[in-house]
Amino acid sequence: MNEEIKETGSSTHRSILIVGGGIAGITAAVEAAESGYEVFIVEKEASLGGRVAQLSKYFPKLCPPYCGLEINFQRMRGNRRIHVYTLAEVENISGVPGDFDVTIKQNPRYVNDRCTGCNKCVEVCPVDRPNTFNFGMDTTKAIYLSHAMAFPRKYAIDDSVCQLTDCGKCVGACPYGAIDLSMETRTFPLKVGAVIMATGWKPFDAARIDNLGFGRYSDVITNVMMERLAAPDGPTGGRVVRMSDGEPVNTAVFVQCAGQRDTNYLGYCSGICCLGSLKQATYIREANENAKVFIFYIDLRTPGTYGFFSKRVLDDPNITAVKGKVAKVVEDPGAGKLVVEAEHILSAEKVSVEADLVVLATGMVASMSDGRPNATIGYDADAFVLPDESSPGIFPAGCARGPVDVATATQDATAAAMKAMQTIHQARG
Amino acid sequence: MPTTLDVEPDLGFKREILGLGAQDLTACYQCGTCSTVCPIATTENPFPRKEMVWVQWGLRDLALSNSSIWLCHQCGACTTYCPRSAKPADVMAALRDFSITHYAFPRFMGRALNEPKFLPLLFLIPAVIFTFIIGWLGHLSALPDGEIVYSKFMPIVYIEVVFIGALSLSIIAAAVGGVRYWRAMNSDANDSGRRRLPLIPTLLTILKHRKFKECASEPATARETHKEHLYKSHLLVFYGFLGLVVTTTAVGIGIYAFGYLTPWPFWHPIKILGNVSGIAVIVAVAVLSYRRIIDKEKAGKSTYSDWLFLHVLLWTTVTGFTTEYLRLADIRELAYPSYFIHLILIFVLLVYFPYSKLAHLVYRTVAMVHNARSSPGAEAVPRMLS
Repeated sequence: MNEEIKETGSSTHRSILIVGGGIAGITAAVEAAESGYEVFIVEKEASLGGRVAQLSKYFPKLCPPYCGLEINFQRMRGNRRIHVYTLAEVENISGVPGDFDVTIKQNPRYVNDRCTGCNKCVEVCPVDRPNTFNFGMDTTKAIYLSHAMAFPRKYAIDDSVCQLTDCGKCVGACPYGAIDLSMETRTFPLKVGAVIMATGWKPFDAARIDNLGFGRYSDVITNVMMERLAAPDGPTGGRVVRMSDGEPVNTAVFVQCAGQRDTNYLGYCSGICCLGSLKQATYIREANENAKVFIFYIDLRTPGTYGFFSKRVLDDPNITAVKGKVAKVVEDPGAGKLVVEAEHILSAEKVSVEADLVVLATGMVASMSDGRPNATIGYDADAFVLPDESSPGIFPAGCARGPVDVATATQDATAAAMKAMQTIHQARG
Repeated sequence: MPTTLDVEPDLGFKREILGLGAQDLTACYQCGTCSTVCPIATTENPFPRKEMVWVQWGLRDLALSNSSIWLCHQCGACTTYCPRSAKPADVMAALRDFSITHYAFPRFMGRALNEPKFLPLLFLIPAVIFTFIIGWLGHLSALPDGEIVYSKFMPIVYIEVVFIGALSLSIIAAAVGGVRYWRAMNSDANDSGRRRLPLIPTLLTILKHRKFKECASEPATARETHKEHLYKSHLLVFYGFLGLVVTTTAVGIGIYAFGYLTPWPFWHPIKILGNVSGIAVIVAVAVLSYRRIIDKEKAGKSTYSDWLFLHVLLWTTVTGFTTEYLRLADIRELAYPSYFIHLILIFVLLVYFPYSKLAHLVYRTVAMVHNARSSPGAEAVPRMLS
């Protein structure tokens, strides 16, 4: 891996821009680079890994995603054809297949390659910021490492909160001279032969849903927050407890299709949340052997070959799937519990559950719903990138194209890498 | 054990409901959001989710034999929260519309009030009756002389004969419709023994508009339903209408029991009650009509029978006032015709009540009594799962 800007020169037509350094972008990068192509990954966060890095476990194997990410990072480390720009965004893409001109804007990290990740800077930093990696459930200092397994393993400074030279304590504390507060935003051009849009997704803003208590009650969380809650490097160190009082979770409710398949919010099904909630039900049960879990669903969707996973999880007598969409979550102030209401469709009666924790299975929103590069790229009504008929030489991969699970995203990324390489091959004649 | 249900879809029924302003129903995917956000649906009888599938599957008998369609007071929370924009409130309204026709006695009258082609006939019947009386009295060629006194034009006794006669038939017809609905509900409900009919509590609920109030004060429905006005506007039209009924009754008693002939002076308490009630009805109908027009996308469509009823109620009241003021202004050539039209409108409003939207007086009351009897004290506290 090489972080320096290469003179692209003669290799112009043998290079691929990959927008987004999540699992799809990384997969495409490794595949293309190992096939002999020059690859530029542009990632807007301070480290790679995207949403996968935030997961506690994968379904259906219930293994940690970092295992697979580490393998990919290792492949990247050994490959000099891969160039990574973090804290960077693509501003502009123009040109034709085989010859695209790209403009990249990279925000200052204020930390250079001498950083060893020793954490001395954090010890002296006086400023806190919400930890966006943990969805604001805890804080970091203004100088931070994205998360325990961050790659590249370099600290970064959040200049929206840091006082920079007015403070400068970290500069003195760093034994390696790795902190450079004079770094500035820079914009630079790249020439590439093809583009892969691996821009991924972001969680739906659950605060928009006005009847499910999110934002009103701290024990109503989203499925992505649940991943962080269960993760060993999460805000509670992996203890699955109530965010309000740290008490154990005796009863948890999963609200499927929260703000999804809903003409008021996301119209589509994200296709992974049922499996996600089934998986997360096992987190609750592992944390507390007496815990009860209710999964309220409209249709329990386990696409493809995942049906066995649903069966396996629901074999647990303490995990109950209830057909009926939750439409009301209120707090019982006396008991400090959440009262979740739905219609039990199969018995046609109104039911409720007193829950310690409510997890909203919110959906995947296309990252490209805002902050799009200036380029001829087709998007559907939900801001997912259309296949390359509308934008020759630019290929969507993974969740940029539509909501998919990780396995599908990696297959899709491999296919996108193949298409990008074919495009370049054909353009070279 | 799951029970087996023989589904015999009545697709004609489904089509008719769709045609009564409920065409978005087919988008429903049975999630139950509607029943959950409904402020008045009870634990054992949540609605309108099951009503949606009954219509989708053409299960006419189930849909028409449940109290729920009339327990619903059309607050619109279901439509506001529906994730499919399937507008359950429109379906409930269409079912009520349909059930009035369905339980109508004689059946033809149910159709007559719901199909525009019969509209002229509805007005023709009273027009012919009153024209005949006027002709009989010789007022067709010359209006009565002197001070305008409507009983000179149309003696009270003729009016009483026509209205008491016709309304008696209407009340019998309404009773038949109500009994049909009651029996249908009985056949469907798990009725455990005989209990006394909770008439007084139901009457109090209606007089206090308790259900409308519950609909309007539901904390979980933070979203605008565009039906928030209904508690106040229905209260106004209800008491306005009641005031006019009281006025008419009091005038009748005054005439027959005390020989106190009309017109009564302007300051008379009953006269004041009549005027105030009339204004209340006009204001309420204006509000209801205005909201139907401006909210039609969000709060639901209005059907022919909705507008027919609102118009008849409005113009009945308006012609009541024009009749009163034309008399005071002493414009004979307009005053008597105005009275004539007023009588026709009253006839249409009252005599056809078992078949128009006004039939909700019967059906909603029957449903509320039935519900109060079969599940006394039923509250909206859902069954707890543990």
